Amino acid sequence: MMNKNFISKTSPKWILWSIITALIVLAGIIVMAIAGVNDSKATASGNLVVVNVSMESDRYEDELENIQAVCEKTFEEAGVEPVYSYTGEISLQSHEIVYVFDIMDKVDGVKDALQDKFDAMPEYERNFIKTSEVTNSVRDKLPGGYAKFLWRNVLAGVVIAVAAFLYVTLRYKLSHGITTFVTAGASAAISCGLIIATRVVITPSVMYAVLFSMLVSVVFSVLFAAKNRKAEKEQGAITDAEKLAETVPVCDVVKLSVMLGVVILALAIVGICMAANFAWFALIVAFALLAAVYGALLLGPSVYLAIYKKLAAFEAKRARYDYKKGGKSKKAEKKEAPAVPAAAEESAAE
Amino acid sequence: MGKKKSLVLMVIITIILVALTVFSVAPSFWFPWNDGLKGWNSVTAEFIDFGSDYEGGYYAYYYPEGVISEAQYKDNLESLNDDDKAEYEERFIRHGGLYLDTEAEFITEGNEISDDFKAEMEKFKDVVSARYQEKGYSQYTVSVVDHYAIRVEVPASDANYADTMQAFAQTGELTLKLNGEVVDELSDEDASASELIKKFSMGTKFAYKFIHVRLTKAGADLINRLEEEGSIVSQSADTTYDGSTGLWIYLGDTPMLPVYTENIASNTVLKCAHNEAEAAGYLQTRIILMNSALENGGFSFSIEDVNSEMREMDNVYGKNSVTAILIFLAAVTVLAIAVAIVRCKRYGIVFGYMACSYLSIVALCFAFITARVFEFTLGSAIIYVLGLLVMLLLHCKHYDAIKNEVSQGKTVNSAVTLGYKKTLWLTVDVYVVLALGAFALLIGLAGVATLAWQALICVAAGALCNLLWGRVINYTYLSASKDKYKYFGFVREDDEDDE
Repeated sequence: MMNKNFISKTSPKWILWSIITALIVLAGIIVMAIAGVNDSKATASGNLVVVNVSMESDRYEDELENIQAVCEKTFEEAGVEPVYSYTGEISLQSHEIVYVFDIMDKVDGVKDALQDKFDAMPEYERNFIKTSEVTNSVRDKLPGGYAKFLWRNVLAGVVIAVAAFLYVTLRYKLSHGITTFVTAGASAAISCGLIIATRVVITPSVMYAVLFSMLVSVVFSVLFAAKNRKAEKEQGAITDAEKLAETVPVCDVVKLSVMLGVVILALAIVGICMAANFAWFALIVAFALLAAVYGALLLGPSVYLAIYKKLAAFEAKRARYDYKKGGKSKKAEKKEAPAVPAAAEESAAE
Repeated sequence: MGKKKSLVLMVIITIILVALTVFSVAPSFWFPWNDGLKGWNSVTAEFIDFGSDYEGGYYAYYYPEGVISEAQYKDNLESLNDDDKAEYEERFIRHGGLYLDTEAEFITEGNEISDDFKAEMEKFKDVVSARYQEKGYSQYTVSVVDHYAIRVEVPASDANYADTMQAFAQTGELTLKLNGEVVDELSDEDASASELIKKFSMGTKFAYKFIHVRLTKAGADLINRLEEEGSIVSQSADTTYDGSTGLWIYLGDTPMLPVYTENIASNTVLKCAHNEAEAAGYLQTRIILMNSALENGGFSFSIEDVNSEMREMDNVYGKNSVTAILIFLAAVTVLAIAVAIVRCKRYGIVFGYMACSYLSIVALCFAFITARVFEFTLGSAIIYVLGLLVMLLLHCKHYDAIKNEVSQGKTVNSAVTLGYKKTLWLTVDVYVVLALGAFALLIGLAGVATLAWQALICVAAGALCNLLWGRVINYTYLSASKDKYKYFGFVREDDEDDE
């Protein structure tokens, strides 16, 4: 009941929710303008220090930690920190450890210092450990580059919203169709705004989360439309906030959101325990879910109510307009007209 | 349906479903016999391609002739004696982390890099990017190393990575050679193969794939002339298969595609190099490469030994990420079944059957529905979960509708029918909007396009389970049940009064 009261209080405030939506998006834009997006270091360009190790695989596996410790200590002494590292295997005898640094870091001296250290270590005397340094600038990571990747996926998002709008409009009514379109778009925009504003690391997975938010949002919209239509069949047109609150599928939204929330939490725990990137993805999906729930419980009902009232007013105005012009009554007269002479003819015949 | 009949049917369904689930997703293990050499791999373990995020990948460096890496330079230097060392040091100039051979053609007299080479390298980077883009990976990287080398990275799901990396490094020009000599039509320096060939594409006939070569008018005239002269040989006549007999399409000095008399399909079409469908990736790589050469021409430099520059890399999410994501998905599925049983009593067990069916369908479709690069990403995991939970939500809505009907005094059987009927359109609506959304995702690129197929599979499997399979299971299980009220966890009004 409290939920219904809450929804009945929030649903007339569509301007407030629109402003909040706009502010979240604006925050994202401002943060992006000032600091840029927090691009994934794994996708960015950087200076690479490559440590080539010629060693038999068995020994390499035993020595890997020691070699990495030497590298890390040297980096620490030089005051530089690699963004990330990975190991590569060329053959059973030849391996490499790649340290990726920020493009601004000067690593040439570091590489030489590292080489000196390995040269001075008697245990590696008979092995070939050589350090080298290159500048790696990522040219293309996704088909057509980032711009094409972005606009094609944004287009996919727009089509989701438009397709859902058309279907819901055909199956239910225009006001629900518009609400579906608005909440799906707002969910995507809010997800992006939150992700950018909170400086979460941007990876291609962000796109999955944003599109996930839109899909969840359209499901919520359909549940709302179905419940609303059922209530309207029983009670007639619903125009006030209190009655509308009863048709918002709070229970279903909460159920699905709690279940998804538990799943996201589980993913975050798996991420923290086993694979750190899962935790980042869990955070991004949590933002996406939050945006969809916000759209379903706060923005959606308020937008629906505002649109419904506008459309009803427009319909009323049109009806009045038609009445004044006499279009409708003339049509009615035309329909009724043949009946009058026929009746007259009948009476005349009698 | 009779109780015995439905009981037998439930047992059969259970056995089939358990077998299917084990076949689809059970973890891999080794048999204790055969010295542990043989083992069991489920469909998930065997056939689903996990992206480079989960399974790592391969990377390689493309060094143009005359450019070597610092490691290679040091290696070479150490193998020389002191006199040669000084000469070797003089011979190479350092550029970032690369060493450039001053004896290479692209180094001018003042030890400067020629402008032509710079321009060609710029073009080559674009060409290489376009080749990898065309291959259709959902994830790949092409980066430039100190201006004059290229680093490419592909996911582990590409079983033919070595072939792809080697093929896409080719810089030669496309030509047609007759008995090892360039045909007269291309003997002029300015002549290009694009005057004779329009494009290469993939063709399919039964279980075979072949390369479709579309010729221009000049190309068709050339083929007619050579056919009349009897210069084009039949496949059986080409015993060497090294490009020296008959008409061959060459890339630089590499013979790429023979043109035999059997390959001439029509005036302007050749159907060359048949291959089994399994090897489609090999032909696709050749088609991309030859189209690229047709469009961009050749380059004056070649790429040095790509094989020795290939490396295998670990995944970015850590070594246990595949295990972690599979445990996570299994836990979510079990949790969803548990929630259904707690909420819907034995009707929740029906959801258990639905969830296992959903899991099996999704796993099998992910593994077999397409032979293309079809990688399992974090997006795939979240789409699977969304499909499962939407299925659970709608299952609970069916339960609520049945409960509502029973509370109005209907019998369980008619409540079930009415409950399904009343929630039918809601279920249809939810799956239609999700299917429309999944279709819309096909517009997206890279991982999103892959995600679209996976979303469509999840939506179709969910809809099938909610609208049809769940009803069948429920009908069978309910028929086998002694107390239909207890089955749903309902309390009869008579029972309440008794209490």
